[in-house]
Amino acid sequence: MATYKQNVGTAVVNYAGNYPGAVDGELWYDSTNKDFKYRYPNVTAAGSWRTGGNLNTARQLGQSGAGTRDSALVAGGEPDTGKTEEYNGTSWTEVNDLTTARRNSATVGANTEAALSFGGFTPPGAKALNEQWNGTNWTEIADLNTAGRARQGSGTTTAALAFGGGPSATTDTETWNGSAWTEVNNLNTARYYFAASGYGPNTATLAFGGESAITNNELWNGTNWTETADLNTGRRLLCGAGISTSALAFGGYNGSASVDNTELWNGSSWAETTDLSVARHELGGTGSTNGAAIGAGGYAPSAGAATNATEEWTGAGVGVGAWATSTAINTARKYGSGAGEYTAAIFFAGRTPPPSSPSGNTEIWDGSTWTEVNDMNTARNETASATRGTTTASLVFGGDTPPNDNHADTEIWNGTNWTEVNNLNTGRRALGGAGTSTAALAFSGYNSTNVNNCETWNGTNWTEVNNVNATRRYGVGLGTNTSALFIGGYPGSGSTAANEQWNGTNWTEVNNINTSRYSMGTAGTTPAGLIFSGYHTTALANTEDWNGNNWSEVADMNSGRDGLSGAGTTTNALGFSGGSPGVLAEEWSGSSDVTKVLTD
Amino acid sequence: MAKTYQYCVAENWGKGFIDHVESQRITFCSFPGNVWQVPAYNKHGNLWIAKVAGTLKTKDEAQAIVDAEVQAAQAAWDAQTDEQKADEMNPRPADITLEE
Repeated sequence: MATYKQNVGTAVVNYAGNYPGAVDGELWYDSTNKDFKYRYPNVTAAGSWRTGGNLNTARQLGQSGAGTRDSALVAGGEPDTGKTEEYNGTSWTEVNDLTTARRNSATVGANTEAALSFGGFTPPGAKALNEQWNGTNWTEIADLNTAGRARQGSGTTTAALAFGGGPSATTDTETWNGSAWTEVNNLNTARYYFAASGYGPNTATLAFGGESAITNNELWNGTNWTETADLNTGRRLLCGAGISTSALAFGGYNGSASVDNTELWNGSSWAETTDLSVARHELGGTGSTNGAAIGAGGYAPSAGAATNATEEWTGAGVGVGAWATSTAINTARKYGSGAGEYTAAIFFAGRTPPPSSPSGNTEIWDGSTWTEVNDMNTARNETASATRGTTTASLVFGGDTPPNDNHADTEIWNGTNWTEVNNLNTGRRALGGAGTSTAALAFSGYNSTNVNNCETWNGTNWTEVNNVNATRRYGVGLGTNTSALFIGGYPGSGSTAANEQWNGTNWTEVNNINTSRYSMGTAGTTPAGLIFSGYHTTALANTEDWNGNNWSEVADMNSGRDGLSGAGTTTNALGFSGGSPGVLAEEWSGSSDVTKVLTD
Repeated sequence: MAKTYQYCVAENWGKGFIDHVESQRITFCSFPGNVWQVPAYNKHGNLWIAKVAGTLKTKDEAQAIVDAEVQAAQAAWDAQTDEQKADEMNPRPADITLEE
């Protein structure tokens, strides 16, 4: 029988605890807990819709849209308009209008930089118009051979397909070569108000549903249309996304009511899956596969009008995370410090609500409640902590007791009391911290000016080591005193997205965060870190996940705030305090890897 | 035009007030005065409001609650010392305008 090394190429690593270097699926031996463990991505078991950014103009988009979930374009709509909007994965931006305002045109294209919009309707009738989008403007180019309303399409600006359409259902199909439309073999079933897998090329796409709430589905192979497996729920005015082997059908009108049904096409059949949150018809949408799509606008009977609601579809097998509300801390504060884990955390120091005063208050979280314990010796705010500290061994250093008392004080927590220990070499506030109570790191901060000093703590003394590269205050830290990150901050105006990594000797600039800010909460370590909320012109709710190389935007906190603290890992974290200042806490269930014990 | 958001007043009791599934499905936004904004005409938003026994407010009613809270926070800020007010990380609470 082959050994693990023969199969995988590496021996089973022996590591005390959870092996941070493990790749997905790699087995290691946890010598502390005497378990064989492996890690795998924490992914969704089923797809789901979540709310996205709202359209600027509520309207019925007529089953049209181009691009992907995170780079989408919609144009026109009812009431007749030329309005065009781009979606960047978060919000819609209004851009230049179609040259001819109309409804029910088809829109195809790979992203927001290049698209076609053809056909449509504006009184007195269906249009053969064809317009090309170059990322900035629409330009009218060669018309369709057959004018049509509510046609569908697929492909790109240089190789597209137009098929079906009204005002009376047609089978007409045309191909576009970048300069002219040519008639090709027709659909088997005449239809309009239908949908398509419009992200596909002009050589492979699906046409499904349509007037009058039919289930019929046809596959185009570049030459002919062939009948294939039907939708489960017949409907018209539905929206489609994806390609011929991986498509999504959602919303529509079943003949008596708007529906929220969503169906997944796997290349051979449709399966009902998680419904839209807002039942509607004549919505717009697009997506590259049945794993990532967007639906927007449409007529929502619950609103009695056209809606601007947008929903983003994420399919199964995708890492997702979310924040949920948690038990509040006892004493409202911001600019305090935290440490520990999701089920065992400690929070200390901070600034109370106006009339503000520094605090030495300490609270411990046991997974269900926060309990007040003994205070620090020196009340202060804008402190830093050894972020990998625990409820029985923590360290607080630096901070401020107004007016402008930039502390060098360091205190150690033994599970019961705080004790003064040797000071930092450079007193400061608004500094970053990382490590444990016996091996910590303090960096940057403010002492009449921004400082870039970095010091390491060996359990007894602080020692000056190499400085950070970009001086700033209110940046945040995570990790250990041999492997840490220094993230974001306030350079003196605005905020920075800078991110530096400490290797035990030097700081090196690594990939920036996506949203520039300061005074965030943190959790995790350098291979897998999390930052959340913070401030840049206003309090933010953004959360970003660090995979060791890059930051990715993940789900926002429910209550954005600055000056909060955090604890835990990218799998399970806590964010608490901050804001006005307040007592709110939230729990993160993460998008990162899950560690499992190998069992019989 | 249809509303984009709906508002309710509900006190955040902590764990379970918003769970992870609810947070994945809809976007919540909190405002002073326990005012919560969720998408309008959204079944998951409606279910959450029912779960937390939220008191529905029109946008104008919600705005009035938020305004009162912000004005109280501004008054507290104004009562601080000049030194506290000069702290760059202690800006005066800004007015908040809710969206329809």
